[in-house]
Amino acid sequence: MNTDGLDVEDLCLFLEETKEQIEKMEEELLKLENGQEDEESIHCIFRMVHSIKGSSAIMGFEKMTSLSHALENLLAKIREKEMHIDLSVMNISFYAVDLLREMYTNICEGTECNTYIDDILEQINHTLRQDKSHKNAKEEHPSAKEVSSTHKIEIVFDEDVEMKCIKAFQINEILSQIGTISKTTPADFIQVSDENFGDTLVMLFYTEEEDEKIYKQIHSISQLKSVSIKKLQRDTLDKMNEGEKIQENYISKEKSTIRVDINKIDKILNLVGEFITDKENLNQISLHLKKVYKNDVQIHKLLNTLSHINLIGTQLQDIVMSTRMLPLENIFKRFPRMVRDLSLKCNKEIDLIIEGSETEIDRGIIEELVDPITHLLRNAIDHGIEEKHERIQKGKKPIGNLKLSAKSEERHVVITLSDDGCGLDVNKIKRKVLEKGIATEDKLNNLSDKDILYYIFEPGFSTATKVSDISGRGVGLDVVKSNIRQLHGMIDIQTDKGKGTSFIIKLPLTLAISQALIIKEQEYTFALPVYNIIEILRIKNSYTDKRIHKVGEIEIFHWREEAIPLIRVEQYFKIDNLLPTNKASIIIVAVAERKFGFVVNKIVKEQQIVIKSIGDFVGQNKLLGNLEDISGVSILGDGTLAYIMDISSVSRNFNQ
Amino acid sequence: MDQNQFVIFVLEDEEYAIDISKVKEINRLKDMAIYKIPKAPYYIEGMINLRGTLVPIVNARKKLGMDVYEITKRSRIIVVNSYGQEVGLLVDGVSCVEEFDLSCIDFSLDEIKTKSDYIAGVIHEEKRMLFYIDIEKIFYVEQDL
Repeated sequence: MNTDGLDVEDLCLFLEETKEQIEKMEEELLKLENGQEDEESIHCIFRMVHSIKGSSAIMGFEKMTSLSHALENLLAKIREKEMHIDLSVMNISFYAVDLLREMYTNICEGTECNTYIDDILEQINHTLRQDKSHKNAKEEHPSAKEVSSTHKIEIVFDEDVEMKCIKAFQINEILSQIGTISKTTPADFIQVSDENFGDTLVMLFYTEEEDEKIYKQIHSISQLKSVSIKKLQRDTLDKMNEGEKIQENYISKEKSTIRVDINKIDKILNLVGEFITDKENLNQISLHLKKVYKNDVQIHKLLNTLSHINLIGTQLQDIVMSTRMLPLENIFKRFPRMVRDLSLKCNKEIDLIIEGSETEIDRGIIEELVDPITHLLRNAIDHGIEEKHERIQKGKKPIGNLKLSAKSEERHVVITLSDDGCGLDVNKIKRKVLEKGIATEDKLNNLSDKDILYYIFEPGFSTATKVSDISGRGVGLDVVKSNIRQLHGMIDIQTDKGKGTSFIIKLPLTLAISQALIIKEQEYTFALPVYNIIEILRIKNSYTDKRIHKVGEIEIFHWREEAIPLIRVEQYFKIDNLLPTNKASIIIVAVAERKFGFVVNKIVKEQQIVIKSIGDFVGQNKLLGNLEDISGVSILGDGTLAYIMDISSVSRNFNQ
Repeated sequence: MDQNQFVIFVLEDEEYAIDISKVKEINRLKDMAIYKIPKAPYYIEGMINLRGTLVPIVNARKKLGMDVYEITKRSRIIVVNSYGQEVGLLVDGVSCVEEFDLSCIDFSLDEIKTKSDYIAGVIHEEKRMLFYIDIEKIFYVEQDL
């Protein structure tokens, strides 16, 4: 592997392109396999492989070049309909794509490319040879194949070649001896100066000769970096011309966007965050000043300017946020392949339906979603969906259904993963919980079925009795829960025994900024995310007070015909020195279809907060321990730290 | 020859030394508000807002199992870099920065090490004795906590 003398920028561009191409190839392969034996897919894959071959050759990644070359040969056969697409061809292609990705990763990480490709090359060649024998048999009938065809020849010159037009002219001359040149790019190469020539000469060439002959002819010219020859069929030739036109259009549209280093956007976001903190502070100061200098003209000017700053702040924040938004498609497109492989492995037939992949979410969140969704998918395939015969017995459709859908809901994204498998068995979960000693029987008897379901997210819980290499990797759904929690999200389960299970993940659109209610308990300041809050009531008036009922240790609040448990925040967080609660308020919050009342001593105000993660310090073996009930910290305008309450965690811990 | 600089801090009547390369800054408490963290482990004093960065503060006395002691004018927060994170250590006071020859550090004190593994060695210098602290060990948390 030779990367000397290459620009970092070139390498970045190469990596970026290659990544996209590999992804696109996989996507198209899946389409092909799903019976959409669409010519366009084959062409598309072919183009991708071809360009990987070319660019990897330029960059000097030889293994990548030879693998893509072999794959290109295979695809050429398919494209010219000399070969049928069957499972073995598909598997080889998928395998090749995997290897390409592996190499890509190696290159990314800067490690030596040690992917072993001899096997796959041999497999491809074997397939091709098998096919050749068919072809030879065919060629005994003279009419079977047209010998002459059009070739697309791409020649890359060495960078330091002078007078490229002369070289091009020489090539033109040589090729004219064995066939006809129908089109060249650049067109009038004789008149093109070196600066404008670029490095590549593309020709459409019609000949009766074999590829080898053309190669030989061209290689009699010196100082050529690479030569590629593709055979084109008549109909594809027309399509190619069309394709080029479409691409041109595409390029002209593309000009209105730019690629920006994501670090710059992150920096802007941080600055906007600080701006918002200061803005909140300014608002506070201005309120104070307004009281002191009621009639001062300058104060009015200040307030006007401030209200404009507030407006700008909101817009600025929205725009910066939107630049960080990515459609979920970015990760969703990986899953069909995974489901395909897993269902083959499990010997189950599964249809994966993906909906709403255009839903956008912050890029910081999107990558963190791959693991939990992968985990849930694996789980559904391995344990959720039954085997074919079992499904038939139960009178279900033999093919299992997995649905991954996403949608926006206010300032949230909801991702649902549903299967039509066997559902979760509450009794089985109970038995497991007892067996593993996660909870006592008394405790379980006091819990609703729904609460018991949540035990599957506990560390050390795994319903799979046998360890399989699909989902039984020693990590359980607790990882999913902690992943989602870190993203300030919530996860909910709905299950119908025998009919299927849904996991519902609710995530904030962005991690950085959110609207919160600031409350104070003694010297502690907390922030409660506004989206959980339904209503705020003062306890002071006797009417409210009468609706609080005490049952043993638990306080129940009678609210709109519902009995909801009360959580006294200062007790819950073990803040001592309890104050008399006659000034307290009850904040009604909703978490995963359940409601709680938080009793708080002082509500300060509602404001925007910039969330800072304390994830580096929280967790097992970390400095702050399992600080489950706090999902982050916000620095308020006056420098005070506010702890952002994780309401779902508080409610769950309160229950248990 | 192998001169290293150490920040010397005081807990009760003993002197402790930490590698100066780990120390980012030393702060007085009057400039800093320490915000207590609800339900945090016992030895965590709280968190400070260090010019926009959140820095958790470990109370050195509590962490080393000593009697708790009121914060005074001499108390200091030593902000150190531990595994890429900024963490603060609350100590009774910081006396000075001193240079010691590496050869005067005795690393072979197994009796002390087994009981408190954050003491990496003992520095003998004339009549003084200082404990050389492995600062990352102080901030490393064992499972049982």
